[in-house]
Amino acid sequence: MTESPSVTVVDDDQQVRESLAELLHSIDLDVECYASGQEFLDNYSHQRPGCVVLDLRMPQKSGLDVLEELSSRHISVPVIMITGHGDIPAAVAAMKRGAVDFFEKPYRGAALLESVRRAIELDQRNLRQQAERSTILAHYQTLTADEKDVLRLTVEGKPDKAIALRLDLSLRTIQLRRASLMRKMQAASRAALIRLAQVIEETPPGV
Amino acid sequence: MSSRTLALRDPADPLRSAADRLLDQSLDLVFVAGFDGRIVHVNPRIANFFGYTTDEILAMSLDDLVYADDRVITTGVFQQLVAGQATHGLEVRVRTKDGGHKWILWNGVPSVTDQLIFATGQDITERKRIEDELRESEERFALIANTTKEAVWDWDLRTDRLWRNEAYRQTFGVPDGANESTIEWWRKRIHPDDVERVWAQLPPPEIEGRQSWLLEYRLRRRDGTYAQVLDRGFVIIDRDGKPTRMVGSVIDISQLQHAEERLRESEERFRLAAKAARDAVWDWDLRQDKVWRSEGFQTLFGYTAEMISPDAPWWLERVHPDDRDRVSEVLPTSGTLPPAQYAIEYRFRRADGSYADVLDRGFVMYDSDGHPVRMVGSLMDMSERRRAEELAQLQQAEMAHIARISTMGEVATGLAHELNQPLAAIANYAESCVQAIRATLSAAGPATQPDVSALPPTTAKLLEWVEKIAANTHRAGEIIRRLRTFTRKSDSRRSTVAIDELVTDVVDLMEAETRRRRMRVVWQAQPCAEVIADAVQIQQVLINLLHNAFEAMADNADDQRLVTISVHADARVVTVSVADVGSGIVVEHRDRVFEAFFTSKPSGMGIGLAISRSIVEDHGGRLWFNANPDRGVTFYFALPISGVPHDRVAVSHSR
Repeated sequence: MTESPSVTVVDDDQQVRESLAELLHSIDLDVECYASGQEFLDNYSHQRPGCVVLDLRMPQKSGLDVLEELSSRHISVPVIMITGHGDIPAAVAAMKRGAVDFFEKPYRGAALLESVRRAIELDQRNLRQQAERSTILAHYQTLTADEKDVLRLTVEGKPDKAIALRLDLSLRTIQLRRASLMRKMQAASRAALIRLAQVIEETPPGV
Repeated sequence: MSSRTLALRDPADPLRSAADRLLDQSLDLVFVAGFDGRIVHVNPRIANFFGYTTDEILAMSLDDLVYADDRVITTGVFQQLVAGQATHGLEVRVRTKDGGHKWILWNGVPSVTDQLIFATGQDITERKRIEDELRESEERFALIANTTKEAVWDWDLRTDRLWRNEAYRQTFGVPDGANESTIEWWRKRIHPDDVERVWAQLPPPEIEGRQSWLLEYRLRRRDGTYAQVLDRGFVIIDRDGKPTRMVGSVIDISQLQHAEERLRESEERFRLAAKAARDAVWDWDLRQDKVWRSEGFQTLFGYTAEMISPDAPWWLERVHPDDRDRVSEVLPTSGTLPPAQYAIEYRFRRADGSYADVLDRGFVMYDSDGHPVRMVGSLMDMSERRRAEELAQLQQAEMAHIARISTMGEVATGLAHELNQPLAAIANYAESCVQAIRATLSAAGPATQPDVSALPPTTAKLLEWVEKIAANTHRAGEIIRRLRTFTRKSDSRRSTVAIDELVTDVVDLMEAETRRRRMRVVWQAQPCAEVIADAVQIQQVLINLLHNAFEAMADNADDQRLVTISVHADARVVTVSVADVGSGIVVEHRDRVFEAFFTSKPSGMGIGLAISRSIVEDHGGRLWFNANPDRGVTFYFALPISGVPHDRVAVSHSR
């Protein structure tokens, strides 16, 4: 996750698009530009950390349409809406569809940049967590069925004796299996193991 | 016999000679004839009268001079003379030399002892001719008078005798004694209630200058009943200017009066119609000077039925004094003949004393003699109409004001987006400058608090300027925002709107224009969805789309000017489509049609679609278009449905 962040600008107005790109360049951000919602959806992939600055009102596909499609594709990049035609209902609709921020043109450049920075941080955090979760899950997949049972009961807070009784195994066997699963899960302590297990539980199946 | 004749001319007898001279100079015709018919003496006048010379006449007999048709009479008279009987006043015709005839009035005296007839005569040819002509003319008059159905009379003022024709006698009575031929006879037959009035209106003979009159009275018929008659007559004045005769005719108008009663029924209907009309209708019988007025006089001017008197003065008194002279000019009483039709505006006093501006339109009916007998017309209260007009003007002005305000709001809304785009670009560039300058300051990177004092003075100035550019950009953006919130109050006007009813309203509203531009709009109304919307704004969107469709088809053939409106609803949105078969939108314009002030029309402002889109998006909807595969364009706008679509089962039922 050392990749440099990239900001995507989607606006049908060329001047807005180019000036916004210059502004983002001025704080050393990589910028990708699209002139329409469809072009963006056709080409975008969430490879690098970053965010999308999306115009609400565009011909054909509107900003709200784009937001909905991102959501249906499970692309979780943070989106900042900008519009030359802002009003409360439009802002509410955008926020409901997952936009992280909403700016009326002409906005204060510094404020937008600040929002972009926060969005990038959010995305970096999200991506990091996602990566962590993937690692944890990968580790979890290496556990045997017996080790998974011990992990589950350990996380439930049961003492080793109770676990041995429950699984009808010797206390020694339980201790060996936990040592093994902690090694596989790269957990330094029992507390660390419980935290990892919580990440696994929070992860919906199929991810 | 011849010796006796010669003896008469004996110049030796001085007395005879004097008598001869006298006879010679007499204007009368003098001759002496023998009992045998031979002419023995004539005066010169005779020769002149007959065209013969004296000698020629003396060679003739009486028979030769008598007109063939009168020979029987003359022969009879001659025999009486021969028998010794004198004759006086015999009017006979004689034959003249040229073959014509003349009338002579003869007096003859016989002398039996001398066997001679002494005769004198007067030329009455001219008198006879006049008498003949008079008789013929009187015969003609009697013939006409007695064959006409009209009762004709002739009153000789000098003798007070009254002549009546056959029709008169048959209708108005048999002779009753000595007075039957006097004017007194007539007077007795006039209805007692009318006789005084009739007598007063008769022109006494000594009054000159009045030569005709018209009287209406009741006259007793033969059977004792009274007839309503119209008696028209004129006075014949002699050479000395004295009235000598009055001649006239009497028409029984009783039948007409029955007809008038029937007319009254139809007038009743007319009155009812007049009552229904908002105008004040009047009907002025000029002969009786009676005016009927409709209830409009009560409703329009506040009078009660009791306050209105059925005559012309009542009305004229209420005409504004300044208008009265002008109004009087069109009246038949003004002396000039009123125009057959007229319209005049004047002020008419209401019951409360105020004046109404009225338009009085009427026409005049004339009898067969060209006399005005009736005027009918109506007063229209212009003040009420003017009030209505003023009100309408006010409303129009108010609507125009509202339209201006809302257009301003919509232009502002439309402009907001268009202006905010370049403002955003300016702001972006300004901020880019700020960031770039700051980046040169500190290697520590952006976003840290820069130490401006460390900048070279020029660079510090640049930083200050671009920051001001950015600030002013935001100020401009703020002005636009305020303008929008100031003019837009659309939320307060929103209500539940049935889309199908809205479309129907617009189609109805546009009907006149559709017809005028020879367009055809196909719209099948069907119960559809309801949306929360500002109906007027959404109507404006649809009107705008229809206008555009009409514009696009302006050059189409008449049978290819078709707009099809349809509505489609799903669970979330209702979509209205407006499809035309017009010129379409060229590819290079397709991305720009919603831009404010972009137009392909020579007369367009180019804000219609921009505003429409603003409106639709304000409602949380979308506006877009597709080019039709064959011809023209279809515009769509979709609005979120407010609740459950109503009555979707009845989709196939169109009203």
